[in-house]
Amino acid sequence: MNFDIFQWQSIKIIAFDNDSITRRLYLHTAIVATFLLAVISVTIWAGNTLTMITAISRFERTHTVSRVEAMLAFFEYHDHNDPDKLKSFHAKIAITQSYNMVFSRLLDMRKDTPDAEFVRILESTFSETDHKTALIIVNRIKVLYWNPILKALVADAGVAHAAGEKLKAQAAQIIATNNDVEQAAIFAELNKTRKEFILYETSFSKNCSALSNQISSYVSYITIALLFISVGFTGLLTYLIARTVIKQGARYSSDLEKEIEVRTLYGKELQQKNAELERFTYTVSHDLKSPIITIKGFTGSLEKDLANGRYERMTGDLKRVNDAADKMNDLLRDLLELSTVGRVINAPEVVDMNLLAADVLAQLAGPLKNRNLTVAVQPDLPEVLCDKRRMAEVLQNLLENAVNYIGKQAEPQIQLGMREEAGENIFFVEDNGIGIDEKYHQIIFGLFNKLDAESEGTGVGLALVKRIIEVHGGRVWVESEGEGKGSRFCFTIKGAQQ
Amino acid sequence: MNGEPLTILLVEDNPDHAELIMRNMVDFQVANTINHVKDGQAALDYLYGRGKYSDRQQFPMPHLMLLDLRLPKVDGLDVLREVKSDETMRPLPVVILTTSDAERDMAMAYEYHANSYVTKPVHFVDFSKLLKDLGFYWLAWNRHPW
Repeated sequence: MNFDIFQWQSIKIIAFDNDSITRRLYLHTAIVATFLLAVISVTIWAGNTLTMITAISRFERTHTVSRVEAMLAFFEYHDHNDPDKLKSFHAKIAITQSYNMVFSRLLDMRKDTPDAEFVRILESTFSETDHKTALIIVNRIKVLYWNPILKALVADAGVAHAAGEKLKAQAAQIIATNNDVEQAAIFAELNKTRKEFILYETSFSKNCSALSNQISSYVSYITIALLFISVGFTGLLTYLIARTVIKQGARYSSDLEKEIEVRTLYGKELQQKNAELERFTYTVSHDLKSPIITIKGFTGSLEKDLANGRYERMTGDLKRVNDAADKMNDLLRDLLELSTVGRVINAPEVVDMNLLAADVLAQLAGPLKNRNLTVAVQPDLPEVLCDKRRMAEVLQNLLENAVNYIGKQAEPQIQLGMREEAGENIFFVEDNGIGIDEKYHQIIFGLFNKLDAESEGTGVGLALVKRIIEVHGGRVWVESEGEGKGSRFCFTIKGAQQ
Repeated sequence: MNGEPLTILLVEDNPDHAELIMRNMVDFQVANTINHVKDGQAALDYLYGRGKYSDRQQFPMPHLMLLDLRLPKVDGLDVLREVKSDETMRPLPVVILTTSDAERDMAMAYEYHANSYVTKPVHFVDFSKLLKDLGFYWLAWNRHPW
């Protein structure tokens, strides 16, 4: 497995974007608050306006009643000459006129505070409760200045007020005159004025109820519209935030999964390395101890034989001692070699595999000549980006292996070549030697693992090859149909290029 | 010591160690025959009389197996496990004789029911004495199963 710790470290874990979410939530809250404020304002405005409209309607009723009562009182006074009725007429018409006065001046309220007379009229005309109601109207009517019905209403009140004044004057004339003819003429005039007065008063009443209806509908429409809009906006915003949160959550969880995957991979790698290290220490202690036992054992045996005067096996025993010491030396050298592979990595360079193969074969010229072997190298091998020295070691070990295990072949053949498979360049060293049973295809790459204890080598060669190839991000394996069928050692290199 | 021919199966990949062991065994004359195989596969083939070991006259069932742990082809522990999981083979005394003094190896060997676990002494005198004692104990004192 090609695993680069730096690759792992460079994977940036994108943290959950809390800031963005928080910002959105703030915005959301602000917008919702604005809408709520708007709804509350409209509700308050609507409440006030409705209170005012109700007040206007109530006043309008009182006003109409006063007007009707005033006229009735005047007619009764005229018929029966009852002074009480005259008093009643004056009082009632005063109330009616006060209302007309107040309403006719409503629009002027915008310009300035109520003048002294207006206030006096308010205070004198209305009872305390009505006075307060009147103030509510005066204070709140401002929001309706724009309203055409209100304007018509104010105009009606003005005309009605003028008619009322005229009515009062004519009533006074009638009271002052004793001449029946003259009185009848004025009375006819008064009736005309009264009709005019009633006409505008009625129009005023109608406008009052129209205004009330209109404002009520406005308030309902606006409130409902605002509610709909705010509910819609809140829903939309909530949806957007939820979508962002879900998206980020998904991204975050996928990042987390990636990280876990990487870490698991890293953990597995670490476990593998630990196991490898454990095996390494174990094999080193085991395999280095073996020659010591041999040396000590045979020197002991030699001493004993020497004491007993048995000389015939001494030469052989000495050779064993010597070989064991050599074996130790080889082991230490190979171990050192193996241990540097992981650490010392020369800068990768573009290597012509044909030239490299020629170099390696030149080094192996001795053993090849001794066994009368030649190696066929496929021409036009591709160039490879690799650590040249290490790659030479790979070729050397694989070729030495082929030489060592060629067996007793009549026509020994060793070949170095390359084939393409699924777009991958696979290099191989092929021989027609003793071959390897399939069940040993894995263990032969283990450190110190040898299938034949008495064969040459320390059992480090293939472990070294595997290590070098893995450092280069490639794979190494053996293809062999079994014993006596020859072997093909294959490897790939990540940097292989045509 | 009753005249019955006694056989030891020595499973040892290191030829020098095998030579040392056999030399001592012969010196102390503890066994009539020592058959030496070099890897785990050969040991199993021998025990089950497979292939070239099919002749029981030449390769009789051993009375003791001296088994090294690190072996080519089939590892010593695998040989041990296979022997001890077979009812007919289980009585065979298996003494692990190894270079390894790793705790894990010993634990595994006992888990697989090794009869004994000894490490090869570095000093020749100890080495000789161990083999002598081993031979006497397992072949002379010990009652063998067949």
